[in-house]
Amino acid sequence: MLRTILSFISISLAIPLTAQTFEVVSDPQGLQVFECEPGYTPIGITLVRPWVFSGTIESVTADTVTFAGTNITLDTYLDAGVAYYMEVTDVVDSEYEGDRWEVNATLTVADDNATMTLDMTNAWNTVATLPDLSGAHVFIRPHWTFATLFGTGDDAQLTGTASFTTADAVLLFDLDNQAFVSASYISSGAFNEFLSGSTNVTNDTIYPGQGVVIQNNQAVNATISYGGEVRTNDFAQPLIAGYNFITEGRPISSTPTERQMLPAGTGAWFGALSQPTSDQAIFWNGSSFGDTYWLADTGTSQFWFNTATGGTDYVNEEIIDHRVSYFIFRQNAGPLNFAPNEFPEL
Amino acid sequence: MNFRSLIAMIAVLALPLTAAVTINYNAPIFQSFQDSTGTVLDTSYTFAVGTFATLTPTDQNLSDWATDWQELGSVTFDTVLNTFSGAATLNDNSSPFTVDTPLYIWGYNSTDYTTGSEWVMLSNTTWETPSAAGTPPPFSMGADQVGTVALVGVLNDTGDVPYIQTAAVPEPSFYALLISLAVLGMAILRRRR
Repeated sequence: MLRTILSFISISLAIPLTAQTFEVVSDPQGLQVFECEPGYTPIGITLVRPWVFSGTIESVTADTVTFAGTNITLDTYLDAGVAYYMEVTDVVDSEYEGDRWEVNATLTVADDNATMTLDMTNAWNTVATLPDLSGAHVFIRPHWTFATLFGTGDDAQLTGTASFTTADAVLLFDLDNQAFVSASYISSGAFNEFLSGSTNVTNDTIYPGQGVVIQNNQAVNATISYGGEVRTNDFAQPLIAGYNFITEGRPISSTPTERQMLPAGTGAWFGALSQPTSDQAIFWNGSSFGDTYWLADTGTSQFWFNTATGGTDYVNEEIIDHRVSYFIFRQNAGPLNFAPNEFPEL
Repeated sequence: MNFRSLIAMIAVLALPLTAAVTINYNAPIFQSFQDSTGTVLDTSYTFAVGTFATLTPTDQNLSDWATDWQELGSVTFDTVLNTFSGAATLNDNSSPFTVDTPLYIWGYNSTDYTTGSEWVMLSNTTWETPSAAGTPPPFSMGADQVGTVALVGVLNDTGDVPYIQTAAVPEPSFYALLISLAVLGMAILRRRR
C-alpha cells in the first residue's frame, strides 16, 4: 500500500526597509513522503528541483537561446557536469508554456555568455524543433537523478546490498522496448551506486513526468521522502503510441475531463467500443498494473469506464492520482502537449 | 441492456495488450570467478540468458548444447565489479520462449565443444519464461537466488571461494578415456596380429 504525505508552503514576506517596502514571495515548496511496502510501489515524482536561472529569451537559433539583459554569464549558474532543462513558465504569456528542452551544459558553460545551447537531439524535448521563443520567460532547473532523489551512502533511502537479488531497486519504463528496466542500489564497502545491468546510472536523469516504481526487496517498509518546488506553470507531456509510464507534472489529482482525456481535448484521445482498441489509463492494483480505465466513445458520447466496474462512468471522477505513476496506453501518438493549458493554476 | 452495460461486457471479454518483459540475470558484485585452472575470469567470458530448443541440458549431451541453444541476451564478464549483470528483453512468447519454458544462464569463453572451452551453466527451477503480455515488472535470475545450481561448473553459495568456477569441456577425463580406448584398441589389434 502506498501512503504519501504532501505539504506545501509558500513564504511571503513584507519587509520594510527605510523608505521602501519589498515583498518577497518564494516559489511554493513541497515535501512528499512515500511509505513503500515490500514489493512494488509506483510513486509520483511531481515536485521539481529549484531553478538555478530564470530569464527572458531575447532571440533563438536552431539550437540556442540568448537571454535579454546585460552582463549575463550563464556559467555562473550552471555546472558543466549537471543535467538541466529549460522550461517555459507562465511569467509571460506564451503558447509554449510548459514545454521543455534539454540544456547542453558543457557547451553553455564553455561559451561563458548569455547564450545557452540546447540538446535538440534529446527525445525528452517536448517540441522537436526550437520555435521562436523570443519574449518567453523560462526557468533552468537541474534534473532529478537517482542520487539526488534517493540518495547514496549515508544518505541512502533505499537498502543496498552487494546482490541484485536482495538490493532495493528503482524501475523505469523503456519506451523503445516497452518494458521496465531496473536500477538496483548496489552497496558493498565504499561502492554505493545504482546499477542497471553493470552500467552505473547513479547520476542519470529521471525526467519530468517520468514514471517511477520502487522495488522494495526488504521485509519492512521503505520510506522515501524528498522536497522540491511545485511547478506553477502548465506541463507538457508527449505521448507515444503504445505504453507510456508517466506521472503528473504537479501534485494535483485530476479527472479525465480536467486532463483533457477526451477526443475533443488537446490530446485528441481515441475512444472506441472495446478496451483493447481504446486509449487507456492503467494503475497499479496492488499486485500488477491491472486497474484499467478506458475511453469508450459512441461517436456522440464519451465515457471513461473501468474494466472491473462495468458501466460506471469516471469521466468526472478524480482517478488521476498525483501520488502515483501509471500507464497511459495510446492507440496513436499524442500531440506534443498532453494537457497543456487546462490545469487549475496554483 | 443499456449501452454502458454492453460496453462493459465487451471490455471484460477483451484480450490483454502485449508489451514486453525485461529479464535481469546477474550475480552479486565483487565475487571470485575462476576457470577450471583457478585463473580469474577475464573479458573473454560471456554470460548469456536463454533456453534450449529441444533438449534438457545434462552432462551427457554437452556436445549438443551449442546447436540447440537459443540466446535471448548476453553480457561480457565485468572485470571491474567482478560479476556479470545483464538485462534482456523478451518481446513475446513465441517458441522457444513460451510461458514456463526453463531459462538458463550460460557462462562461457566459447560455446564450441572443443579443447579450451570453459563453461558454467546455471539453473533454477523458478527460472521459467514469464509472460510478456501486459506491463510486467522485470523477471530476475540471480546466481544467488535460493535454488540456483550449476549443471556444469561450480557455484559456491556458502561463501566459499571461488564463487563460480567454470569447467573445462570436454573434460580432461573425457580425453583420457579416449586415449585409453585408443591404446586398448591398438593393443587388441597387435595381439590379433
